[in-house]
Amino acid sequence: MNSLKSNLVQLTEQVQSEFVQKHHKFPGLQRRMGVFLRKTPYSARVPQHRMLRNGRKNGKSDYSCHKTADKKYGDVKVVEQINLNVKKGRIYGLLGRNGAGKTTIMKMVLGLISISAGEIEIFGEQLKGNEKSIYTRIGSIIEAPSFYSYLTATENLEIFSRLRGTIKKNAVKSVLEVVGLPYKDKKPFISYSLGMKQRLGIANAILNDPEILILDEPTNGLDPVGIVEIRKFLQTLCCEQGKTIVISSHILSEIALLADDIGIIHDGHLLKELSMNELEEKNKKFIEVKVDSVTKAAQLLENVMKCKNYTVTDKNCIEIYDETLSTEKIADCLVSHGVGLSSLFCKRESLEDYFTSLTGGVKFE
Amino acid sequence: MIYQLIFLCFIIILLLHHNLSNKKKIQEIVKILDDIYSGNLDRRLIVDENSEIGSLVYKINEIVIKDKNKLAEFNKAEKAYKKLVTSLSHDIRTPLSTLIGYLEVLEKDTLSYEEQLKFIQIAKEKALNLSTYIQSLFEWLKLESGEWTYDLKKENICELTRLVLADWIMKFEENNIDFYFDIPEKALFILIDKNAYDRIINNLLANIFKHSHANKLVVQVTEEISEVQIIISDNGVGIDEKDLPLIFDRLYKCDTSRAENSNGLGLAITKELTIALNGTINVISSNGKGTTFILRFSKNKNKA
Amino acid sequence: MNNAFQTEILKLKKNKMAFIGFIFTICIPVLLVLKAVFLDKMKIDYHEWIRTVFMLVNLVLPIMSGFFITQSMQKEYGEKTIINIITAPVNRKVFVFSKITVWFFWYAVVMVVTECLTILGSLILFHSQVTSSAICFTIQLFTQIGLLSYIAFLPIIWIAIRQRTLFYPTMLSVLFFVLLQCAGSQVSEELLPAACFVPWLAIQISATLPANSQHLYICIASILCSGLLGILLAILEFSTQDL
Repeated sequence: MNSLKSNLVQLTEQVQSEFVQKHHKFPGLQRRMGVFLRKTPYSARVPQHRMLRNGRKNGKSDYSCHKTADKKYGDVKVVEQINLNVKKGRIYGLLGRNGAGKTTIMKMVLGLISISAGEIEIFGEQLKGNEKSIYTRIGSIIEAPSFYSYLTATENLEIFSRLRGTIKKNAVKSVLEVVGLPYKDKKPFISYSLGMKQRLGIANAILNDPEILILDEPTNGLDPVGIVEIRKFLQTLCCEQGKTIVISSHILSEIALLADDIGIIHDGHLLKELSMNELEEKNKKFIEVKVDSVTKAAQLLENVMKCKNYTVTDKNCIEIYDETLSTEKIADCLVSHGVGLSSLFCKRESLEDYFTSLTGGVKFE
Repeated sequence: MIYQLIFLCFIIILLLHHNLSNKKKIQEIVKILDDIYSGNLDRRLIVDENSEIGSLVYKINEIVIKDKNKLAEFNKAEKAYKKLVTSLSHDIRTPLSTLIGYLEVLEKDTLSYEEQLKFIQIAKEKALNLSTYIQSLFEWLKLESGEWTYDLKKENICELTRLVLADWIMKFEENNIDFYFDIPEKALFILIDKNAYDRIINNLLANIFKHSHANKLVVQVTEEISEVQIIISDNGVGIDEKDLPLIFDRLYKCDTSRAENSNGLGLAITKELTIALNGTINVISSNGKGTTFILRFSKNKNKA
Repeated sequence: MNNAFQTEILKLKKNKMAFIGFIFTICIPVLLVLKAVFLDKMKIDYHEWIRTVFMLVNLVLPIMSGFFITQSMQKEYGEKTIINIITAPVNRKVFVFSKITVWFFWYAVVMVVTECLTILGSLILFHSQVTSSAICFTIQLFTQIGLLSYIAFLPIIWIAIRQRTLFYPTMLSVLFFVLLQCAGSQVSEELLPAACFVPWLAIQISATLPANSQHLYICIASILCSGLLGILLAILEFSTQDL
């Protein structure tokens, strides 16, 4: 019995250390990836690209739109000292109530409104003097998709593609295909539905395959189906094309579904920047128990408390999802059976509560 | 004379301007290419549509985009791998920890004989579950890496199905599940790998057995014009609509099944195998009324 | 610059205002030809006819051109396409210049077509009286007044940019300028030296002055100043404007 147990303990330790190690460092990744990538003929060139990737990581993996700028309308400071860290290949959500300064920030970045003080930095470059080279790398929709009402979608895009320059042949046609609008249609823009207008706006934004997309309330006024469509589209753009997207919204649930990182704007100040993972941790509903012996605790959970809905996440950490169990009951049971309990933490805060606490009592929708 | 001179000057200025602007454009392009070379594959070269360097720039962009897509694919696989590793470590650690916990209690000798027996029973069950899990993991890895070998032969699908079902009858009876088999008597030959097919049916049945809480099960084999359909339906709890598109994803577990011993690999393996056998698998379900899995295999003998 | 101008031309394609302005202006000589044929029964004099055409064209063309540029700017603001243009990115100066250029382009086309129709009409009506020198004179007068009027009206673009989506302030100033231009032909001898300094009055005055007159230079200088000031103000206004 003893030897069996010690063997098993050894096995858990081994599994644990092995996975943790691989998870962080990926030794022998190449071989392992070879296994996973066998179906694609690309595995042969993996090492080369890994180098590139690593090289980037050391150098400039983040886009970080640094914006330390103020904007005053009259005597009122609308936006003050904003510094957004937008990471490459992720969706950054600017969350704030109407009038918090989201659109103002975006317009400042895009050079649509002048800045009262400070400077704007994107891609690690000063905006001033580099406007042309920076703006060709950004696609945007500000406020609402705006086009010439009497021209068709194709004609509108042809106008803007002439202004922007192109990256491939038949760029207009292919971008219309991407967003699912007909090419050379006779319908003028004015008779388009809001959803189609929004799609045309996106088509215009991604015309030149930009590195960053800046979208101001892209789902505003759309019906639920349209919202889901746009959300899915943006997610594929981000996940598959590796685009960096900055979106703004005043709806918490919308941002929560889409964004990887969130910046909370309130009264022209950036209150907090955090990643969605951190937020999810905050929003997860479970009881986290830290004990000296997970094995004992797990056995007690099953045997005494009849709970099967739990995960052992670490050497001395268990997450319990069973909502019928109270913290008192768990603590009582563990301690009475001689398990050393170092912490017991119930995570049941909702996202809304969290934001309300951040903005000092002001609620989000 | 004077007009000719002016005209000449005008042309020279025009040419010079053209030359200069081209030079500037090329400088810009080189700058962007430097950025691309240093790893930023998201960068694009932009050119006026009617420019004479247009086709050149378009070609470069094409190459960059192609490279980028390949890299993106690789990154996606890497991400999936990372996720797999994390969730595997949890999935293995949880049953192992519990198992050790039981053994620790047994070690102390303060238990009655019945309790000891019970605990050993539980511990054995845990160990067996773990072993099943590792078995499916192994199968999955084999599938993913393409190392699973298929031995495609002309087999009688009805006979194969009956053989698989025969092993399950005992279990169904033990658990009070009514079962109806509707399999034609005549032989239906299709090109299939026997082992893979066994795995598919076994996984589907195991899935129903574990999660559906059904008391009635129907297995039907029907012959269509160009294909053979195998329909497995139950009257259990059904699958939630929001889970339905995801159930064939690797490691996907419905909320309700997290507690039970499931690894999220079974249906993923089923799907992969079905695709490998040139078949399709569909699922129809309504909450509380039951689930139906439909397998379709082509009768076309030319397809290997 | 080239691209921005080309897109402006593309925008003209379905622009009703540009079309209406064009039709309205070229209708004047055509209608006057018809009037001379059917109503006056050829009783009028060649010079009188030309003067009527001239007067009407000088009244309608500036109004139409004012409408054209006002609508063109106002639409960019109203439909917010200006945001898409500036983020394309188009340099703000280039945008203003492309608007000025396309305005000039439209103006020149309308002017030339009207000139041609007028000459054609005069040839039909007064075949015997029209000499080549008369044609030359007509063309010169038309072009001179047309160009000067265009330049003098450039400040309209500044007002249009300043007023953004508003239509009426710009329209009112267009009408005011046209009024001044018409009044220019009625300026008396004593007021002439002062009137020369008002660009819109100076347009008509310049047509009546002899080629070597000192006042002519003042007229042209004041008109050019107005044009230059208009462009400068427009660029200044637009480059600091929050969109």
